[in-house]
Amino acid sequence: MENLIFYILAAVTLCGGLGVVFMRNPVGSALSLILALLGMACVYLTLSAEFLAAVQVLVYAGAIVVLFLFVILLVNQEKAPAGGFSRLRLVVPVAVIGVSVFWACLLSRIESPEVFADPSLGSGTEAAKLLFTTYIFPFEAVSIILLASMIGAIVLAKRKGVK
Amino acid sequence: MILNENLYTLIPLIPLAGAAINGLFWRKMAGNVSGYLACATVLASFVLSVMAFFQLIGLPAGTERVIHWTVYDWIAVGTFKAPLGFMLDPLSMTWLLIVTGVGFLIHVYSVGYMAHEEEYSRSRYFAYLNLFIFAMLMLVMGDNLLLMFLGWEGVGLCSYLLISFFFDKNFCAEAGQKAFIVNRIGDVGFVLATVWTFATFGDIVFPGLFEALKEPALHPGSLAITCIAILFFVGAMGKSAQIPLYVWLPDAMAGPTPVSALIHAATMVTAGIYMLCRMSPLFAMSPSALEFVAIVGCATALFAGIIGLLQKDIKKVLAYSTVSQLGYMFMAVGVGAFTAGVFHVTTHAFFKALLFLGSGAVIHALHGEQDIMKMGALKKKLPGVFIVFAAGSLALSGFIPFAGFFSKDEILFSTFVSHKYVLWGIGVLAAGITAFYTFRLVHLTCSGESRMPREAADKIHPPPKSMSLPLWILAILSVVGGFIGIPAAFGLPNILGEFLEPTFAQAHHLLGGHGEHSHSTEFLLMGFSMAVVITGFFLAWLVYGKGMARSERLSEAYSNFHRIVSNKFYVDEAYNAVVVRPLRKAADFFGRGDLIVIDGLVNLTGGIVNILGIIVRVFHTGVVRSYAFWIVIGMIVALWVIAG
Amino acid sequence: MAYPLQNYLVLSALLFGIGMAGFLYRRNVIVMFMCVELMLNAVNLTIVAFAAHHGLNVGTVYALLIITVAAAEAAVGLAIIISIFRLKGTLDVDEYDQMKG
Repeated sequence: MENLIFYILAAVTLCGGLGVVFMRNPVGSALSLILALLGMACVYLTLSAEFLAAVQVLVYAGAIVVLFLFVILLVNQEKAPAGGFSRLRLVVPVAVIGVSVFWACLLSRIESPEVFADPSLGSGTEAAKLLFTTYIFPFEAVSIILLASMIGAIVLAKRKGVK
Repeated sequence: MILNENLYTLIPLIPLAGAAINGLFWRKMAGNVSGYLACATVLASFVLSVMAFFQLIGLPAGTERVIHWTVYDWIAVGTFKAPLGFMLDPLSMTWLLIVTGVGFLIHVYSVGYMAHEEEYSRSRYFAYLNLFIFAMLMLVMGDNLLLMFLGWEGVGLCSYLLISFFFDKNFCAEAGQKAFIVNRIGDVGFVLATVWTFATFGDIVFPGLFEALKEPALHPGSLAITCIAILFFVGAMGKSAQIPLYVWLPDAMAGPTPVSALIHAATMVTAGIYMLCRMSPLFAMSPSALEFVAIVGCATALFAGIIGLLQKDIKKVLAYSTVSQLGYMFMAVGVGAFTAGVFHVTTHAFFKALLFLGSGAVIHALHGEQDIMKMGALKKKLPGVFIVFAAGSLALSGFIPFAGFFSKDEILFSTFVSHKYVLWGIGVLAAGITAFYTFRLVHLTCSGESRMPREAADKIHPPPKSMSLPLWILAILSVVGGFIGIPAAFGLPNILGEFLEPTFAQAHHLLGGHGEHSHSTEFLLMGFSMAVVITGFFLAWLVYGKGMARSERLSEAYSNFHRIVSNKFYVDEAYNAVVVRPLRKAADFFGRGDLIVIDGLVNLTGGIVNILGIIVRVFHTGVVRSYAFWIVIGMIVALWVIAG
Repeated sequence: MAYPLQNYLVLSALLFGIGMAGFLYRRNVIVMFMCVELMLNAVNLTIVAFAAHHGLNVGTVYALLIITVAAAEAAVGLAIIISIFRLKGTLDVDEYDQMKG
């Protein structure tokens, strides 16, 4: 029972995930994705990764999913949203989920050292310390990736003939 | 004066340079420049050879009379060493002088003979000729079997190139091909013998090899030595046109006449004798091999002589005569008289080259006519040619005191003295036949009635200086050349014999000396051979002396004999049926097999790739989700493998 | 405080499985993309969990970088989807079969 909070958070996240998969309307999928991400952010909080949780909410839930929503609405579908469920039967997702459950059970047998991290470790300062010293190169590289993808997205999504 | 030995390395290299220049810069060669260049290179080699000769005889007599130097360690793998080295001893010196000397004369002659050809052809011709001299010099100067083989192959190649010089004529090209292939068959024997020699005695460099031959510990048994010796002789059979590999030499007459003189009379065909003489210590260890050599040589001498009796082409008569004389040389070697063999090589080089060049002058004068049945009475129109031709013929027949007499007589004497009376008898018979066909040749060509067509007879012109000068020089040599080898019976020193003694000392030691026969026996035999020669002349005069009538009656009376001999005993036809045609069929069979099997295999590989492609294409459905599915499957498999 | 490691790993595994199931099951290409994001998140969680349980800060940094890259990828991917939609007029993945063969 001491893990109750964790179980609640886990349940919420998983429900969000299932919602993504099984909701017919893509907008509904997007909204359950937000739910799953918020659940994940809380899980990060239990790990004392506050900075990461904040970033998760801001960037992932706040920007990326919003982008998804924009695109869904841009792609105007008057009739019923296209692309329902696969012609394959339900067997496939069920099988996959079943396998992952099995895998999860295996994982639960892992004995882990009970190392309690210093709560201050997850703060922004600590992350920044690493990011700007040891991991400066990936940092810069990722910023270039962002730049490239920005340009790419603009170029790809432009209508033809529009300057 | 003692010169640096490396200077003598130039002896083969200068003609090689000449060949390269003539071959590569043929466009720039104007007029006769190519010919002059080629002559100059050979003359340079001759001068150097003479210098080497004087240096050589300056050395003390005996086994020290050798100039041996190594230019470069060509091959040295484990115990196998084949250096790029040269050895000048009396034997190779003899050949050196013959090759460069007679070669030079023939080069000069060629300048005149080939003057009608266009310049590009002339450059090509002289390039080949110089290349040949290079290869022949490598053959005689090399100090190990591998270098000798290099020269061996080189002369075979040049022979092919020169025989098929007029390659746009089919029969020339075929003759060249025949020569090369038959040579090759002999070469197999040579190579096998070389390898076997190395395996048995551990060395192919001559000084070391001959030392090893003295080691009783290394003797593998008489059968092995006989086999090695016979394999070497097989190589000689191909190169020097003995039975059964002589068939290329008559066909080789398709090449230009100077080529026939140089290659197929004086130098290349004597390479077999050279090789046997060089390997004399080995042969001396196997009396049965020597016996075999003698028998083959003797048989060839007789057989070829008979064929030469009825040939109609002036060059073919001389070709068969060459084969016959080569038989004599091998017979000499076979009875252990190596010096006699070398002596006959020398004199034969003089008079046979002379005869060929003389016939070349005749052909040149008659603008290409080679059929002696269409000649006659040339001694009035071309007196100079007639005189030199007669001189050569007398030398060939062995008329005293011309060169051929002493050499042939020495061979027959050695055969008699070795108690090989059958061989001696056949040799004498062949000498008579030689005299017969020689007289026939000279008479039908130069004397008697003219059987030439009118127009040809009017256009005869004497040969130019470049052609007649070598003829006269060779004629003089044919007359006096015999005096270097006068037998002891006359009380004069045998210059050649003494000169060559160190080379053959080891062989003579193994064979034991011949019994000393009295000088009277020798004079008796000499007289007997002269009598045979004169009989041959007389019989030929009887048949052909007074016009063609009597010979035609005889050929009708003995028509079968006439037919068989004129057709060369149908040897070529037999070879064609037994060897050439089955080989061609086999080649066709394997050719088709290659097409079906090997090409099929290659196509099969392509076909397999094709099928694989078809299979893999199944996965390229284009449907994104199936890709996704396969990605997931792949991921699972990868994780499985990683996790072990 | 931090819960035992296996909890996080189990959650991550399940989330990953759900994401994969959705990826194979749905035909709407945008929803497929969302499932990919789910999978990325699951991996993120694994990394952070392991790092935290070793007392390291690296996990946060790693996860940060992954989120950034995911954002970039989402942008470009959605741009492509828009282009394809303009071309094909449908978001049904099964219709995108021009690369057949």
